This record gives sequence, C-alpha cells and structure tokens, in this order.
Amino acid sequence: MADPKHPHGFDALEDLAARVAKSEKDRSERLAKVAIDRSSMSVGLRMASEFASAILVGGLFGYGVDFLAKTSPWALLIGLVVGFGAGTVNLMRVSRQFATSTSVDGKAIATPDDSEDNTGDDR
Amino acid sequence: MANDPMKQFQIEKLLAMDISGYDVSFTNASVYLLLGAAIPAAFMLFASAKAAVVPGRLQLVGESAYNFVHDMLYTSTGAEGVKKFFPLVLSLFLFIFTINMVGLFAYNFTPTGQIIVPAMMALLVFFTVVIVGFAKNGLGFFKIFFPSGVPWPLYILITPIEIISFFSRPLSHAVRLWANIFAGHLLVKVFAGFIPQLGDMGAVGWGVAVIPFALTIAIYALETLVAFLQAYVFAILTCIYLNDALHAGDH
Repeated sequence: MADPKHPHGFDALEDLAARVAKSEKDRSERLAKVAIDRSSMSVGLRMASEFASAILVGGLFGYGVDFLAKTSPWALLIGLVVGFGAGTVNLMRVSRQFATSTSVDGKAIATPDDSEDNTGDDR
Repeated sequence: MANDPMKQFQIEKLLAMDISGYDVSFTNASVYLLLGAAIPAAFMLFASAKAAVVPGRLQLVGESAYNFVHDMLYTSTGAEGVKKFFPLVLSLFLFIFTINMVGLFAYNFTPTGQIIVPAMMALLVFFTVVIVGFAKNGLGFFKIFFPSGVPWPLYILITPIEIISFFSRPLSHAVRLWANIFAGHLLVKVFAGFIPQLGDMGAVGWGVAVIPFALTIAIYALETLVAFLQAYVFAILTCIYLNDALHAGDH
C-alpha cells in the first residue's frame, strides 16, 4: 500500500492481460472465418469433386468386380448406384460442414442445436 | 507471343535422364517442386536461427505459420495427433502453399496444376490413415464402415456406401487442389489472352480491352486467395482424415 507504484504496475499488467486476451479472441474468430471456404468457385469445385469422385470410385469398384467375376454389366450398374448414394452422403457431410461454419452473423450466439452439430459430426 | 492458355502446363525436359527404361528427366516441374521444398525449409531455418525470446519480424512470421498449423491440427485431432502428425501436416501445408504462391508469378510453372502431384500427396495421406488406423485400432478400424446407432439391417445399405465414400477420399482430396489451381490459371490466361486479341481491332478494341484487363486483375487477386485456401483446405482435410485413423468408430 505504501508503494504508489505497485497498484499502477498491477493495473498495467491487468490491462495488458485484457488486451492480449482480446487480441487472441479476435485472432481465433478470424481463423474461424478463414476456415470457411469463401470463394464460390472452390465451394463449387469442392462439392463437384466430392460427388463425382464417389460415383467414379463406385463405378470402378463395380467394373473391377465385373472384370474378375465376368458378371458384366451388373456389378458396374450396382457400383454406380451405390456410388451415387455415397456421393450424396459426401455432399450432405460437406454441406453440413458449411452450415456449421458459415453462420450469417459471426457474433451471433450459437444455438444449442448448432453446437451439437459441431461435435456430433467429425468430418 | 503464344496465346495458347494450355502452354503454361507444358512440361519441358531440362536435363534428359533415363534409368533402366524409365524417364526420370529433370524437368521444369522438378525445379518448382524443389523450390517448394527448399523455400519453406530455408525460411524456417532463417526464422528460427536466432530463436530470440522476443521474436523479430522473420521469427514472428515463422512462429505464426507454426502456430497456424498447430492450432488446425490440435482442434481436429487433439494432443495425440499433434504429437504424431505435426511434421507431416506442416510440411504438406508449407509445400503446397509455396508451390501455389511461386506459381502465381509470371512465367513460373505450377506443379500442383498437374494431377499427379496432388494425387501422390493425397495417396500419401490415404495410406498413412490406413496404416496408422490398423496399427492403432487393429480390426477396430473397420468400425468406420459401421457407424454406431444404426439398426443392423441398414448396414447392408450403409456399409457399401461408407466403403465407397472412404475410397473416394483420396480422389476428391487430390482433384480439389488440382482443379482449383488448373481452372484458376487457365482462367487468368484466357482472360489475359482477350486483351491482345481485342487490341488487334484498333482503338475501339483497346477501349473494350479494359474489361478483360480489369477481370484479369480481379481473378489474379482471387487466385492469390485460392493459393492459400487450397493449401489450407488440403491440410485441414488431412487433419480430418488423420483424426479418423486415431479415433475410428467415433463417427
């Protein structure tokens, strides 16, 4: 108490801590914003590649089975259909990722539903 | 001046080499791949050379890059993932980022615009996931094909879909990076090519050429963003896939 400098130094420290905490919070918010794939072209390419690659892999699987088991063209057809399903599942996962990371207002308080989605799906 | 927008993707042999019938020539792609490895390594060595408690400007940038990848890996895989995979993810991120950025400069070649380069990186990640997944979980790794909380008859439908979804990952992982870089560089060249073509029409043409010129600049700015974003997306997807290897069945 006798030292007039001490409270001043302590206040300065607290002030610094508050500023550090604020800038760290800003930084993590900014990082969260970068996490969203902003450019529309890359969003489109992302969705397209997720969808197309699943169909392609499904078709290749079917073609491989056909080639080995001489059941052409049945496994290829089944593979394409299942690949289409897998592509749709991929699309759902990607769009859910976008839905959770793209909030309309960055400062809005997340609803309980949103936070559940964030932890529920690890993709 | 050639106006062919595909010319920028052509591989030229700088030093023809041949090992038992395989063409292992040193090409322009090799040069930029080496640059992609050398620049981040040199930068990190420079940045950490002093290792001062209060970082200088260079060290601060180096530490930011380190922290950026560390945070990304930590949030998706936890402490265990950081311990095991941090060097892999940091290398991949800096490698892709450097290649993309160097490729933005005029006359430079962009190896990530060749499907084989992202494909090999995606396969590296894929096999890392498979090997680590089996080493860590044993047969429990198969749980990723059997999501929990589903009535068992549905597995007949879901398991093939999950298997195909799993095998489509390296493909979409690679195609996404390649397609973004390829399409972007093509777009820049095509729009830039309009300018001299319009210029041939005389004064009116030069006036109209302002539009593709402005567009080229705008796309270039977008490409700079894409160069970073795609490196980031590649790294974060690597993190997500690696998380599956460490925590199979937590779907």
